[in-house]
Amino acid sequence: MATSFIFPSISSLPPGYDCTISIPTARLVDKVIRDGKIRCAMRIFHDGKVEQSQEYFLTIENRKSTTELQKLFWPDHGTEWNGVAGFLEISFRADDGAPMFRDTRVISFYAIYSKPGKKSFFSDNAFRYGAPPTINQIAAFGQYVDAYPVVHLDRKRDLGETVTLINPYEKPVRAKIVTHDGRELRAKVGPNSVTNVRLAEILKDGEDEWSGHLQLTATNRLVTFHIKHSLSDPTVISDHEHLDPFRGDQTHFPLSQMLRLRWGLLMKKHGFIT
Amino acid sequence: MSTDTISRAVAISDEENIICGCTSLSLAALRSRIAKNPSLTFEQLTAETGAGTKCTACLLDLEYHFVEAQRAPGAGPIVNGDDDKSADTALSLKQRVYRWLDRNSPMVPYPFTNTVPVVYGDGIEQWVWITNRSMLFEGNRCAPNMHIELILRSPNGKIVHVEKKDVVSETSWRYEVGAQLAKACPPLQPGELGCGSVEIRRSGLSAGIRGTTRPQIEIVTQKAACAVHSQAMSGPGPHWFGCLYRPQYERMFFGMLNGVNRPQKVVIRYPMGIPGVDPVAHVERLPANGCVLHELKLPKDVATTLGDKAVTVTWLGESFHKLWAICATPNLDRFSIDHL
Repeated sequence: MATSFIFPSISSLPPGYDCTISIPTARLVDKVIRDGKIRCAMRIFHDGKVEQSQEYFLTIENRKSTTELQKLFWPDHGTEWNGVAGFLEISFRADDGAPMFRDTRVISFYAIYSKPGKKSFFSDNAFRYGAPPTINQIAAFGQYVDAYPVVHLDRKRDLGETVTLINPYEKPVRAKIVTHDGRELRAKVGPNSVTNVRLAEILKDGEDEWSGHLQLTATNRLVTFHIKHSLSDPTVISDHEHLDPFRGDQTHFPLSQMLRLRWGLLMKKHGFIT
Repeated sequence: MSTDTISRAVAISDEENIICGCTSLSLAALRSRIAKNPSLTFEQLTAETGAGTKCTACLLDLEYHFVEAQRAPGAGPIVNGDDDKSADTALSLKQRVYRWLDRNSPMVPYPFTNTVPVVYGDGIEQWVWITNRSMLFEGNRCAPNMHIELILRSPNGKIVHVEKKDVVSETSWRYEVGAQLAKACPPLQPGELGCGSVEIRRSGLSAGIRGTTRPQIEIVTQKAACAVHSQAMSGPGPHWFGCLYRPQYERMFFGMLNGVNRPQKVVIRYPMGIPGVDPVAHVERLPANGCVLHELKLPKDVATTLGDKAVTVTWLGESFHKLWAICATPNLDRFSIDHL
């Protein structure tokens, strides 16, 4: 199943933080099945436009890279972008277009978000296309639904939360967020843009605390993240997580399949497979 | 032209519709492939046909048509006869044997088991959340009633509490584990953080879908909260992670969980790849089913050489284990937690 490219991945660029990304070159080389040139591209999007793009080549000789993957540092653009988030796309492709990678699966990594005076936090990258749970879900239910079960808003403890909706596609998207007790928020996300939905808007007058679950649907799939931050200052972020698709996976399996799964787990446990 | 002719012409042109212009993959060809092999994955499709791999402009449409064809593999004029039979002939002998066995085996519940760290300390709460809600809360497509078992363990792996609960459809459960663990462990010094673990077992009480039931943990202090989903253990490795070393702003911990019921060593090395600096190997001995909290610390001269560069950390276990990155403010009043 060799392919000429790896699916592009998306990372969020929230205002108020610098972003550092460093992917070990060995992780990419592990996926390579032959020598050749890899075209590595990074594009930063904000409000429908490519703010910056960078492309360079990595040469693979004797299954080793002659240079290292470049580190990315993107300084906080909160002021220039009027407090609106952007996003980063990273992609890898064989320069000659011939199969070069073992598979298309995204190389997972954490972006580091930091700022002097504030605790840093991490967030993993998301598939732009081909995310197996999203595809399985849409195949099972015919509908795109993300879920987040741990929402906790509290005026007294200053707990605020935001859902980040990233639309890395060319078509505008309308999204709807619903909570388990029937509260609803709606948002539009332009092409190649990000919309932050502040969940404090669901708090009613005089309501100090709310905790519960939300689900999200949209006219097209989106890349979504959930941010836990200070309610009074959303640029003081504690945590940045991805949402979870509503899972269509089964709770029961045929006994024979279960035994194979157990065997695989045992092999993994003892390091025979990774 | 009669209405009938027009509608047939539209149907044919829809089938001949090219989804991927670069490889000339048509909707008909896509449906045919899925009909022949219903277990075809999206990745296999792109690899075998090359569709979506050239200019990539069609990938989202390809995803759409892939799931549509999977939802109705019999749809379209090119599929006829016994789908299962045609699908079987496209499979290898091994796959056919597995398929036969799977069809004739009884269905049994798959026990999902995840172990997550439990932190405790002054003013820190940690909760386990399990929610079992229907899709868009609309009363259908819900997971079945789920049986949950929480096995709380001290750092040395000793079971200190077991809690069982059936989380029935359309309900959720939030259970505090940090305080339970703190009660069972020796008191901490000021500024000290403790860490044990909780094994979360869940299984469906009848056959169904997983829905929203993946467990999450939440750490709450007097001024902030963070959360993360549970995840399975990893193999021995090697693994890597990058973070910053800024002791004036944060403390970086690694919650190291042992996934097997015998002791194991995990060797964690850092900082990697800094010219002129030799990485130090720290050997942590994890008790059976136990947990070690390792705090990232660098000598002053190394921290100066490092500057604001990221610290690359690598580690290698002997068996099944998991590391969790716990980043906290120096006074432990704001956290984030990530699985590695």
